[in-house]
Amino acid sequence: MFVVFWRTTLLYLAVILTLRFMGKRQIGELQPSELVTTIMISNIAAIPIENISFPLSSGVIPIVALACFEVITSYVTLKSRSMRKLIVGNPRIIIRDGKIDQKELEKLRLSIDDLMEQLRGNSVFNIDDVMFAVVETNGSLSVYQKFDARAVTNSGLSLTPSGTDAPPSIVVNDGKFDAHALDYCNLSEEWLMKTLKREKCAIKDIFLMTCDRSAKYHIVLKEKEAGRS
Amino acid sequence: MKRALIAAGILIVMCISFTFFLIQIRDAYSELQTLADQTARDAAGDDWESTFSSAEKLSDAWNRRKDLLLRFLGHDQTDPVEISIARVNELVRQKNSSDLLVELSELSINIRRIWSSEALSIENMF
Repeated sequence: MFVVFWRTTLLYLAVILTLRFMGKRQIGELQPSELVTTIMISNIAAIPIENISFPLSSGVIPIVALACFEVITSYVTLKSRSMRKLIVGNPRIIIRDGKIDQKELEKLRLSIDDLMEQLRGNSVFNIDDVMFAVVETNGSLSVYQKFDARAVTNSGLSLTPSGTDAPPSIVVNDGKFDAHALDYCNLSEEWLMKTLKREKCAIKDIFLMTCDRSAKYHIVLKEKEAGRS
Repeated sequence: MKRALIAAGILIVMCISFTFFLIQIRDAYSELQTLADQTARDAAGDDWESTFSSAEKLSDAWNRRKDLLLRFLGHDQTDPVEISIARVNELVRQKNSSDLLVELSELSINIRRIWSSEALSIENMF
C-alpha cells in the first residue's frame, strides 16, 4: 500500500511539473492536440499506480516525452504558418456579412442547434444581430455583432475616465500583505497602516483587501473577526 | 524558444539513455545466454564441478545486472528469470541433470524474452 501511495505522490508531482512545463495555456482553452496530450498524460500516469509490477519509468518516460513533443509542436506551429495550418487548422467563418455559410457549417459538422447554442454562449439570442461568426481552431465561436446590436462603449458616448483607469489589486490576501500590490497602487505602507487603524483592524484579521490607484479600498474581514466586530 | 530547446534537449538525452540501456540489455542477454549454454553443456557432460561453477557465474551475472534491468523492465519479465535461476541452482545441488536441462532451456527462453521485448524490431514497433 505504501508503494501505491509513494507512486501516486511521485506521479502526481510529475504530472504537475509536466503541465507547468507545457505552459499555462494547457490549463486554459486547449487546442485539439493539447487536449489529446493532456488526456493521454493523465491516462498514462494511472498505469504504474494501478499495477505495481510496471516500473515507475513506464509512466514517467511517456509523460515526459509527450510534454516535450507538445512543447516542440507548439513552438513549430508558432513559427511556421504552414505547420500551424497542418496541425491546428484555420479559423472558419460561418456567418459572413449576416449570412450563414451553410456549406461551411456542413464541413464543420455543426448543426443549427450547435450554432445557436454557441451564439447564446456569447450572449447573442438573435441570429439577425450577427455580422460575422468565426469558429476558432479550439472549437469556440467568436462573434462580431452588427452595429445596432453592439453594446455601447465609453468612447462611443465620448466619455473619459474620471480617475485613474487601472484595475484594483489585492493588497492583503488571507492575512498576508503584498508590498508589490501596494507599489502598483502608488501607495505607501504608512497609508496602509493609517487606513487599517481607521478601520480598527490588523493585517492578520483581513481575508481580502483590494485597493486601486485612487486609494479606494475594499476590506473583507476573516469570518471569526467579522463576527466579533 | 527556450522551452522548445529544453524539450529538444530532454528528448535527445532520453534517446541517448535508451540507447545505453538497450546496449546493457543486449550485453546482459549475451552474457546470461552464454552462461546458461555453458551450464547446460557441463550438465549434459555430467561434469558437476564445472556445472556448479557455471551456475554460480550465472547467478552472479544476474545479480549484477538485475538492479539496472528492474528500473526499466516489469516484474513480469524479470521474475521468471530470477525464479528459473533459483531452480537451476537447486537442481545443480541435487545433481538432477534431466530437470536441470529442462530448466535451463526455460531460462534461455525467459532471457531471450527480455531482449526480444525491448529490441527495436518491426514486431515491437507495430
